[in-house]
Amino acid sequence: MENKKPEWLRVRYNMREVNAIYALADGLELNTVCRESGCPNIGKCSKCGSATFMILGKKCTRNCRFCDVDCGAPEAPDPDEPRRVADAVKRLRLTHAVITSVTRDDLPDGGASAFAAVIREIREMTSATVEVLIPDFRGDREAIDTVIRESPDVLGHNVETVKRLYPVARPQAVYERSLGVLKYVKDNYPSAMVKTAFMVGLGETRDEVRELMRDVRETGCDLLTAGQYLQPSEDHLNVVEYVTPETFADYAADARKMGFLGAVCDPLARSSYLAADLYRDALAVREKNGETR
Amino acid sequence: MKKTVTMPELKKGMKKAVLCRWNVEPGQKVESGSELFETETEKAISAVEAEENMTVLRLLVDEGDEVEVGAPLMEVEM
Repeated sequence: MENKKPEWLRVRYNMREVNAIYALADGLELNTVCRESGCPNIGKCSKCGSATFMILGKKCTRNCRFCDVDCGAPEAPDPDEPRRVADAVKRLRLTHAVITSVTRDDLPDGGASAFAAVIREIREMTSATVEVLIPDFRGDREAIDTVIRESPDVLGHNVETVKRLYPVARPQAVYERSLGVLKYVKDNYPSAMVKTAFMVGLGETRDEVRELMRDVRETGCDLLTAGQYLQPSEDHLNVVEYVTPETFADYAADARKMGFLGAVCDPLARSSYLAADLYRDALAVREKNGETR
Repeated sequence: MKKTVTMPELKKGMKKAVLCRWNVEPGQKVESGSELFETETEKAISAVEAEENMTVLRLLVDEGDEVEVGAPLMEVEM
């Protein structure tokens, strides 16, 4: 039987390795974005014993049309969750921990204090570098400051798609607000590696992608990842196009020309895909350029 | 020891999947990590690896069959 998807969207799973990650997360009552978003890279990442933890529950207060994370009434924040995340990072012996959350528009600080607590706990219990992928906190600068004060090694916020497609794909978000988050972080925390991610295959043009990359670069953002949008279910937005690996290579070349310190543009790239490698490579570039942390 | 390999839940909420292709055949000795079969989920073509060394005894479904999660796919000798 012929596969309907292009061969470049082929992944491998070893269920023993995947289940080992699930068991650790379940044992510590933690959620991973790998599982909740149905990430296709779970087989690859579990082979390396890696996972991206998703704090503040598994119910998101937003209902983005591309995302497989459940939307609904959110759970009360668990004050012990940051310690358990750090415990998981320690047990997995991660050298670079990536933490994200569902969007919590119901919380006064959007969950910023939980991010801060997780960073503190990981630093206390391990020597891992820490990357946080934050929501837009509805543009609340105090909330962003709460995270910045803990000096994460990488601070990410995803623009997700080109400006024109926001009303379709991210109706509760604002393109300029997401750019504003990136700019605010870079302006107020210039030593941070600031990172964003976006999807292609939703019907955007190449010119629109390049416009997005230029807009992002103008905020001072250092790192980016770009990957193929993959429809989680029939209830989500359709894939308009499977973008070829060659086009992704063109985007990576564009990113380098625009001055990004690092870019992972690959059909299977997601925001935390090869995150440790991207961070370390970018750090090396920064050191070579004579910039200090 | 004879065992049955079943359709794994490759994605949260997955109920069933089409077995697109067998990468092994009866009588074949398979090493841990080798690809057994391919399925197509919503997001990707997923090749499932052998979790241990095994010998394939019998394939229980045909390529193109839609199979529920947990349903038997193949008999193997560990």
